[in-house]
Amino acid sequence: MDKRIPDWLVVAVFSLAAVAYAGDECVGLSNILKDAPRKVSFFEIVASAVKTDSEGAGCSSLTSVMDKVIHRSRISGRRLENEKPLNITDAEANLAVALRTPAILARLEKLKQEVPDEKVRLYLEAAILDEEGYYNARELRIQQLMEKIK
Amino acid sequence: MSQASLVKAKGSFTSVKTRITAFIAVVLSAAGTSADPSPQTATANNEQQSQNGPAQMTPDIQIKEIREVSPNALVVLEKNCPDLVQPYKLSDNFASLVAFSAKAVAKDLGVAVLNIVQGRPAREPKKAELADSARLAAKQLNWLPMSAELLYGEESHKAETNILERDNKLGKKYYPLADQLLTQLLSSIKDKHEYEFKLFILKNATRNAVARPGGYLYLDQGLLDSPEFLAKANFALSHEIAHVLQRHETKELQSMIVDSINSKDELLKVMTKVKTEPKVILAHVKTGKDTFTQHHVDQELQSDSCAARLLSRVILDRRELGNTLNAFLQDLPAPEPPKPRPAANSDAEKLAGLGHEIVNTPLKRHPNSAERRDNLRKIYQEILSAGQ
Repeated sequence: MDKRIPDWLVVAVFSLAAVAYAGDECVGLSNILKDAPRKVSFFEIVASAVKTDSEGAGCSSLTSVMDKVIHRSRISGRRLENEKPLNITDAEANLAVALRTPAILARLEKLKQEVPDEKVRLYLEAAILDEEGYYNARELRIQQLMEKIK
Repeated sequence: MSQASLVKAKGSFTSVKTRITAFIAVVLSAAGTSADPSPQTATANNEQQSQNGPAQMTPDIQIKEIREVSPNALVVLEKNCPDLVQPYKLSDNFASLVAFSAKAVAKDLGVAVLNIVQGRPAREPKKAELADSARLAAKQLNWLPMSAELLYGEESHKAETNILERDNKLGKKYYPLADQLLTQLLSSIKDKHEYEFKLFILKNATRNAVARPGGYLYLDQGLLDSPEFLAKANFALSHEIAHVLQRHETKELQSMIVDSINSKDELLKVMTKVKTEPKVILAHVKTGKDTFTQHHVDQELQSDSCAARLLSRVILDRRELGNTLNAFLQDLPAPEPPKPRPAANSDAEKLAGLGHEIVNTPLKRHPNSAERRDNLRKIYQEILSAGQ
């Protein structure tokens, strides 16, 4: 049986989860990763992010990435200048720097081993990179995720 | 009624009387200023006022001098930013308008007296003319109450989810620096305002900044994570503070409404012509769109000007000020060469070209790099020659 998650479900779950996040119900990135080995589906992993009663570390990163995925972009407000498109070379260089940091590398390696679904992994990788402040690398992962769910 | 509320009610009555007296005094004093200041003098005077705090101000009323009027609300008349802070209270706006009308009467009376002295026939100012000019002046003021602006800003802020938290590792590193920049800039603003600025860092590697109504300011983390970009961060923050103090978002919103109501008759005319001349409606739409776009561009340029003036109060070394402005200009994209447009040979092609332009050009665009450079050069020269 094909265990791949249909793309419409990915988008739907992202959207549902985003709505749930608005109510401060996120359990946090560390808890998701802690539970990851026993998770079998994308839905369970993302659903775990919207459960209540948790410390909530990393919720800001999960929310930020989710918002970007579902294109809840910032349209209001006055910007200093036009948004510049992502420079892929810069983003890859930024990712390389992140991967040279042992703690980040360890977190990403753990994800690779424990999260079989590529889309979920890209999403969680983007959240980790966001949390660590590697924003160009995060954008790269989001762009790769968007290509997968097109 | 409890004793406390009675005291409060009595206090309010006395306060209303005092306020009305102060209001009349301030309006009369504002009307008594020079009837027709040249733009140069007005700018210089105003800068002087801004440095020392506005001259025409009581604890309750702040009057904006209306120097120019326009038939459209969607227009920026003072791109060089003579006033850092726009009136933000209904009483301020009303007082500004009354002062403008009083000045117009005084000017007309002056002309009438001069005519009599010089033996020319005196012309009485027509009431309709006065009402028209006051109506046009009203268009340049922002009547949206501050409470509504704050609500608008809050709602808009709630949708922002890319904010760096203050208490995490990176937040603790970057917020103190951002706060320090803001404190330094705000300390140089002596003009009265009611904004409580709230500063946030956005989790972006880019070097952009955002302002939302009500005093919400956002800086990209990319502006703060290297000393190389601190000068641009300073400019960016000044530019965004200017958007708030100039009340650009709400003025734009209000102006669109004002202008659309005003052109009702014209719209009716256009609608009757549209069956026979489809080009007319497209031309009308294009004019409206161009006006809005130009307004948006001019507001950006005005904020650049205000940013330069604000920075000139903080950075007293003029060479360093120039470097700060350059730090912003150098980070802008290289100017794009204009795209050649194929010449239209027939009416049908002209119509198609017009439609294409309406659909494919952005409604809200930033000024291009050359426009921003020219504007900042001009303001920098003004600052230098004024010896500020």
